[in-house]
Amino acid sequence: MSNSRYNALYIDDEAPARKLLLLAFSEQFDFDLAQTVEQMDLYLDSGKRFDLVLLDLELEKGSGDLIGLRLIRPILAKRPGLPVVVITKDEDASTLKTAQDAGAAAFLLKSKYDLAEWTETFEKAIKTGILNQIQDKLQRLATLGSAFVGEVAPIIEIKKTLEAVSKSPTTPLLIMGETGTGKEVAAKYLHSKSARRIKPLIPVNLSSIPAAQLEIKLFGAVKGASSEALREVEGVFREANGGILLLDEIGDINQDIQIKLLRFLEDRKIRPVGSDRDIQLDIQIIAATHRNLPELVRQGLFREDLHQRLKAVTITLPPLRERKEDIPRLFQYYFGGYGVKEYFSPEVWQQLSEYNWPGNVRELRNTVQAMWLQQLIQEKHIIDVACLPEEIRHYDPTRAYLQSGADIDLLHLPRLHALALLNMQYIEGAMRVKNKVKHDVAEMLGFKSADSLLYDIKTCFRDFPELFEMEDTFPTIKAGYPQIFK
Amino acid sequence: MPEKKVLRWLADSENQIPEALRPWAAQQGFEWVAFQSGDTPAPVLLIFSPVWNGQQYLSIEGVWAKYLAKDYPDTQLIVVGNQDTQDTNFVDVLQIQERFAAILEAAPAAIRFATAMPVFTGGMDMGERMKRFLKGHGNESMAAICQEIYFNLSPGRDALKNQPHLVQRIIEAINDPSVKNNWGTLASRWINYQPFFGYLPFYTIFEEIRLLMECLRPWFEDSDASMENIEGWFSVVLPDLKRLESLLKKLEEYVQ
Repeated sequence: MSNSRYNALYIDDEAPARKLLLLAFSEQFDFDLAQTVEQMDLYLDSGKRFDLVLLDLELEKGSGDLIGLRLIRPILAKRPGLPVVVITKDEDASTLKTAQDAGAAAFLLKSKYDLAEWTETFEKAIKTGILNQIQDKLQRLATLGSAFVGEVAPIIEIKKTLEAVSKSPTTPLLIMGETGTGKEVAAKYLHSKSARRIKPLIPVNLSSIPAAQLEIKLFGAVKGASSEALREVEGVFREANGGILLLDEIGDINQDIQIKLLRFLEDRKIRPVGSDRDIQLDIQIIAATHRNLPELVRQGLFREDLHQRLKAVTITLPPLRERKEDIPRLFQYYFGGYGVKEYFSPEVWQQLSEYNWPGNVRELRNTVQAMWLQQLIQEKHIIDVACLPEEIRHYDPTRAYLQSGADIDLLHLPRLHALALLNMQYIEGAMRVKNKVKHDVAEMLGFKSADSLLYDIKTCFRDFPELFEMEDTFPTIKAGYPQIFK
Repeated sequence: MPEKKVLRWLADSENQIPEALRPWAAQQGFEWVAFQSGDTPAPVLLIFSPVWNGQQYLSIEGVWAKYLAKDYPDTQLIVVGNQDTQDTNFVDVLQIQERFAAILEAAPAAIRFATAMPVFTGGMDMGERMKRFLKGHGNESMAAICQEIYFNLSPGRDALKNQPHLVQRIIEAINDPSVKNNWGTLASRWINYQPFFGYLPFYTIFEEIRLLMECLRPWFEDSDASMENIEGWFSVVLPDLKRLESLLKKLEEYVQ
């Protein structure tokens, strides 16, 4: 197990008398004490991460009742997989069996207190508990629906727009946004708010269907219409009748399909392949793409008239890097509502917050899964840096910014980076003016000697190498001092 | 000359009858010996019950019977009482001279009392009294309280050893009233019950318990834990508590 500390909930009505016990384990454990069932519930209902529960079976001393035995199941119902270690003076075999049947991870007798043995028992229980909890979380993640998580202003605006469109059930909607920003999630959100929610939302990824089959897949075909339609094909338009059709990657379809789609948008009719009859349908169309549709229109790859029809209402989902305030909310959602930061070491949270998430929400979800698997493999009780995917672990926001190709805004850089950049721009300028004659440059800039200038550049390169990794930066300095940069 | 049969008898100090019977016993060829604590009760033990402890009459025969059945199963226990009751191990003190020979001849060994009880002599039942002392009145048993105090204190030894910088917190924890409350229960029960135990068979155990309670009392009652005595809490108090618990558990074996 990792060396970081464990959080334990100690449930015992005589907890104040156990101070020495808690002190003995205080090297590795932080304890919260619950002396009543109500207090226990408060802790378990809070977002706090617990790695272990220690439960004294003899709550309410003198009652002669092992109340603790009845608490094991409720604890596990609230926190599945959390190891519950019972502590008792009752050596009765039936008590042990009842505790085990209820799901206790271990059974410790007060008369057999031994720091080393108990520590080993706790660690073993925690290890097993983590395994169970992560399995539970992975299972939950696999079946988790796709809520539209986000509370930043642009997302709130988008939700409002979606709600408005949901009340106008024939208005097409165009959803733009990078890959993984949640276009299908937005479509589902609209569907959930719409009167059409009793009918299906059918998502179709247009780019995943071979062009030759796309028309039949969309509009259907009569039996024998082609080698692709040996029997009658209904097509997704008819499947979605009364509901919503999400046409993802709309920018990838060819002109023929574009015309048929335009026709549907104009008169709400489709004609299956091989048929001589039109079919009237009632469908709300949502088109989505990560591509720049206006640019495709300019290039003649996408019909202007279709674009005009689709873009009547357009939403653009912001990339996750532009709504970083939502990152904790998304983690919270995938972690099932617990105080998510407690499951991370502080450095991890720093890395996750700084990362630019090029794969957006989808990448975040995959990262959650990957972190849990690594936690499992590495037997960590919290997620530390070693559990992060490599690209996040090694992510350097300053380097990423400098290499993004964007015009550099000094305010986006840490202070020392900004000063170093200015210093090098200063030297670069002088090198250019003085045609790389180092003595002249040193004199011009007030250095004591050319060696001092060399030292300054070397130091800057050593401390801020990322400044020199940008393409076309400081060409004169690099040409003047090739020995530094080789 | 044939060896005289030894008859050990136990009675309270105010009971004149055993001494009055000495000539009769000598005449019958018995060695008539007053039972002293530490004596082996075999081969025959007569108990003049109930006994007077200065305040009330106590029926001690039940406790003795269980003790002998466990530790001296071959010993003959004969209860000498004040009632006209027929039992193989009982004789009415008024009939002792006439009936004793027959009783002695027929009385089964004490192993009988593993599953039976002797004739009850009408005083305060010390079997019940012992149970109440050891088990409490529906509350925690003495051994359990002792174990609880031990459980509360003993981790302090590990804490002090592994994290000596916590010494002040360890001292504060020992001085927490909840630890002393448990001691209070233990001590008051001992004080309340101890006067009844004088004629019971566990003299050495009770004496050791008395000494342990005397040794432990000042730690819990007279002074708080401090930098000066912290080591003693773990090197003196803990072993004493452990021993006390084991003695109490030993007593529990006789009073089920």
